[in-house]
Amino acid sequence: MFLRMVRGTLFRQWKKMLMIAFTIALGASLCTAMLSVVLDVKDKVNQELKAYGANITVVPKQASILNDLYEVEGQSAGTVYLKEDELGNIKTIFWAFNIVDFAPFVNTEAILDDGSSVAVTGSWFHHHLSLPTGEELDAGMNSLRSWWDITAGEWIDEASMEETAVMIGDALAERTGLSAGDTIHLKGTEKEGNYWIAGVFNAGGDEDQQIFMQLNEAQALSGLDGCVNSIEVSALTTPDNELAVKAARDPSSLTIAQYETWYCTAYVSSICYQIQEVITDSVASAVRQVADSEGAILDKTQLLMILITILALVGSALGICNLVTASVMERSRELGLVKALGAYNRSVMSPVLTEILITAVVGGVAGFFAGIGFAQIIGHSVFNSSIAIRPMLIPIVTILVLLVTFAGCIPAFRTILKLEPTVVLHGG
Amino acid sequence: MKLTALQATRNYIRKREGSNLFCAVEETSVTLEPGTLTVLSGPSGSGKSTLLNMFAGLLPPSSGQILLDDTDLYHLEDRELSRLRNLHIGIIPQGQTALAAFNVQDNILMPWLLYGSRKNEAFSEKRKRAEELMEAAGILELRREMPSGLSGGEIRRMAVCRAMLQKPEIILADEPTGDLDEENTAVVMDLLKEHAASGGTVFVVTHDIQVRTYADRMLSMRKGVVTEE
Repeated sequence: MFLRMVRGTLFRQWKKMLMIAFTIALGASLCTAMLSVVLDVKDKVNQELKAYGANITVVPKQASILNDLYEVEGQSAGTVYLKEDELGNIKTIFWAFNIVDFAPFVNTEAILDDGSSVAVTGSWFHHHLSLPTGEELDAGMNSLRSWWDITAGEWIDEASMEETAVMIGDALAERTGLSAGDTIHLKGTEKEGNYWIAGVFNAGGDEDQQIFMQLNEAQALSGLDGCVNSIEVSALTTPDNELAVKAARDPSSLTIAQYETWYCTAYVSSICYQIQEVITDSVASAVRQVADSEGAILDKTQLLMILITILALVGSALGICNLVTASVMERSRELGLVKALGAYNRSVMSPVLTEILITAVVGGVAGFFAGIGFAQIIGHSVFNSSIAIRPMLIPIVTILVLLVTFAGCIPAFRTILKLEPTVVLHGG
Repeated sequence: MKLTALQATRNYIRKREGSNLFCAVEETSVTLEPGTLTVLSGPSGSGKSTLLNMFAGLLPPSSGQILLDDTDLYHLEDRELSRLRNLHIGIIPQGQTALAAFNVQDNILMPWLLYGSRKNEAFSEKRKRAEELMEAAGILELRREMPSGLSGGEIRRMAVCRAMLQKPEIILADEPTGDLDEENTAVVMDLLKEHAASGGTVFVVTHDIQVRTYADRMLSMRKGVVTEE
């Protein structure tokens, strides 16, 4: 009887049930799409934010003191260096997965053929790194300087180009009359030689007067083998709060509990602290504007998505509420009759609940797959790439759909509980 | 089983003649005895259906008690009262009452199907009982029909069969012959009379003069007051 009642309603009220399924599908699809994006947005925003460059700079401790004294940002004093062989340690800190890119820099000078001096910077260009942990990664300044406009030639490719490949700023190129493909003769303190210009860039600043070359070659020019002046790090961070500000001033002022909370949260100060732990005699400091905006953008994006999800689910619950209540009201005479014949409240509600659950499963499954489609549309239109669908999304969406369906059914169930056979059967 | 209304009243909140309290059933003490077909007549709005619903366990009295033998119906839990109604009280509601998703036979079997299963051994016995009732009511050939294909009178006869399926001790009928011609009225009333003759308690609320001829006991009701005739 139970199944026949359910089947009877599903067939007789198929239009209403279809509307309920559609409402559930709409909620489920938006929920799936938004949660897919929320779960994947960290990586996507991370890729987008790489364009802003590094948000942490690491310099030798003594250089940092001088910087603080003379309020000079981004410069390093000449006689103290970081160790190149410790660079890989950056990817071994607690928040290693939040380190999205980093690059070391060696700053030196060289003499051109005309006798003039030119600033030379050595760095990594998409440098392949094998860590002791077994992890392999590519790091370098290509993504940290993604705003550079390559006006001629191309980026240095460490894998395919000679070590003598260099890139020069367009101001220097204009002054010297050189362009991509030409050769430039440089004389350093320890080495001199001809270098092939792979590309000419426009950075819109002082770097336009400089020459960029591979790290090893710059070290050889200046006799700084294994030495690094500074490291730029791009890390995904959480916006600072009072605890982070307090910790940034003096981590030793924190209680043990505060310290653990701070250390285990991706505050920029906490990541800086952890970098200092693995790079000898270093001071890591945040490029505050970039670090803050990265975390804030990520948080706001996720909040927006979650708000849309909540609104979609609330809207869906209201729709279900109206439709299920209307369905119950339409059948109130039949339900009243069943009560009059001796059915108790639970046995009257069971078929109604089953009908709605069957409809919810159909709507939920359809909505889930539609949501995956919506997520891909969002991914391609906003981030220009696919959104990864995580398996954990299935139980989350299932639970949310069931919760919304039950919430939407509550008024209808209250109607059934209050249904008086004498009222609905009277005068029929 | 006897059914007793003991000083039972039923009030409604309604704006009427300066007062917002409308008394549908004045203090009433009446007992429906086994083996008796009691007919209650009276003008519309006199409280007949209200009293019947109170007897049926569907409408609690504002004061007083409704006793099934010594059991106060409205002191039972929803589940207990529902089961008691299912087993011991057959109700023929006013108007046309049918479950659209079920055919005539299943509609009649509904009181049993609410708690039993088609796989149960007792099902064949119940089906046989349903067939006997349908034959007596003249609707056996319609047993596979859906309610949407029946006339008002046929649905009414189906409701009578449904009320009698469980062989309840008490049958409460609200205008059971409302949609029936003389011939079918006789069929239905014969069934009810037979039930009373076999020791059942039958209470019929009606306007139909023809029904009065079947009554063992006549009651009338005016403005909520029940009187013997």
